[in-house]
Amino acid sequence: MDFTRKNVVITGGSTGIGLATAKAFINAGANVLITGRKADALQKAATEINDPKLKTLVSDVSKLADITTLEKAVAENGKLDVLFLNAGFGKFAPIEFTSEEDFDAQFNTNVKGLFFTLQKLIPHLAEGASVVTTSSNAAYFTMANGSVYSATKSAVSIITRIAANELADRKIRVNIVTPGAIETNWMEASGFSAEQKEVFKHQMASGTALKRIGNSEEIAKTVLFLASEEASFITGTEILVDGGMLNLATSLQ
Amino acid sequence: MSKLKNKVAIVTGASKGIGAGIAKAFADAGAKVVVNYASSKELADTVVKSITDNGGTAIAVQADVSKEADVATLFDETKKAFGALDILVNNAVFQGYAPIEQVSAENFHQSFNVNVLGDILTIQAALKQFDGKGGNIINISSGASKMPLPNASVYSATKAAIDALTISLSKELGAKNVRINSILPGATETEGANSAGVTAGSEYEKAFIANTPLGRRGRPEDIAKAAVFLASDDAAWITGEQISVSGGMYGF
Repeated sequence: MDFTRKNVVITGGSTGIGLATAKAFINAGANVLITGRKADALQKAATEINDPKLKTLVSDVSKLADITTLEKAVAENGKLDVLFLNAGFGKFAPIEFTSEEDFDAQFNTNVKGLFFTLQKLIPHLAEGASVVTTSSNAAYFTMANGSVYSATKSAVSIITRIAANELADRKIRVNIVTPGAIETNWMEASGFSAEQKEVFKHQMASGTALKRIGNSEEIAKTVLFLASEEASFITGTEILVDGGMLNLATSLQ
Repeated sequence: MSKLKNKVAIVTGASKGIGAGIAKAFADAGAKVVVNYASSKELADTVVKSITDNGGTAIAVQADVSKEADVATLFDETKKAFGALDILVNNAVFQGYAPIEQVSAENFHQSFNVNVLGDILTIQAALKQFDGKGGNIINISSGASKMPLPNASVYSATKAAIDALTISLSKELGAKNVRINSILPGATETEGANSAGVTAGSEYEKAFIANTPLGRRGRPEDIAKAAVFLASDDAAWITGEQISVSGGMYGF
């Protein structure tokens, strides 16, 4: 897959899936702009990728003013070919102990941030451009303590599929990549103790059909496929990349 | 592109339509391809010729996938020609559309024999040749499995059965590193669709296009590109999935 001279924007691009996808697009020849909340994390990513085709921008998707900053940067770059709406996080707690602050923080980043980033960048999308959003198989799980996170990802799925309908007449394809349990640093922000993380990782691996946790690079490969001409007739579609976890979990084994 | 370099693939029902498209795309991606056909030898030979003219490797093998003896021949011939097997694409299909009043027992059995039993027989044979080293199975389902069509009750039911097979077997075979996924094409320009009356410019085609956000029918190449992705290591963590390649017609 060749993305030479294609302009790519990735939100939440300094770590995890966003970073792995940025690397994959850079390797495929694209010009990539990654955003993130923290300047030091973006700097670390830029040092790691070390390629003049990569640009970084401090922009918090939960703040409309920051999205406007992103829009200006995109406008200066010309037309946008690939938009990967990836910024998101989860904070896990029982419903009784979920604060308004944690509820708002997740919805503001995962849903409102995604929605308005898409809205502001739609005018800049080239005809035939591709938009990919990051959901999670948590959108379908009834996992205890995941009510808010799962709800945000369900919202991402339906927004994406409706966007696919709305943008089809400009030949813009819009699809969802839905990861399962992968090795990223999301668990750092999850509130789990070290011991809980180990237990969780083991449970996750045994809960997949392929009996292993995935990695960010495997998600990135699906994002590149969806963004490429190889997926020219795929829109409004969700691809689960979870080692068969959802199917295995939602029925008797 | 060499995503399938030196892989051996069987594509059933590959003399025309989506199957022929997948056979050609696999060969372009470096695979050695067995072009299976039930009755259209001439067309299968044309597919093989187009592959070999392009510098690829392919053979045509006759087999009715609903017959155990034929399936045994198909896999024996594959082993003889190419040794190991890496990829099986179950694409062979019987498209016996009819209103419910006109569905005969024969039509029902033929549909399920080719579309469902055929997949089971080829998967059983493939597992023997994968032989513990893992493998890759792609079942060509249809959007009709999730949004069943009127006057195609039996066809839609066979496709729903295929998706259930895919999911069930992903759980059964995952620990053996066998990945299995379904592709759900939308309205696609194939000989099969033509003979069912969905010809270019027809009212049927107009209705399908009106329901397809990207504003056109799919082509075999569109489906084939998704099959190459699923068959490749780029999809190493994808199993038990149903991927819609429908121009947005089926949004799931």
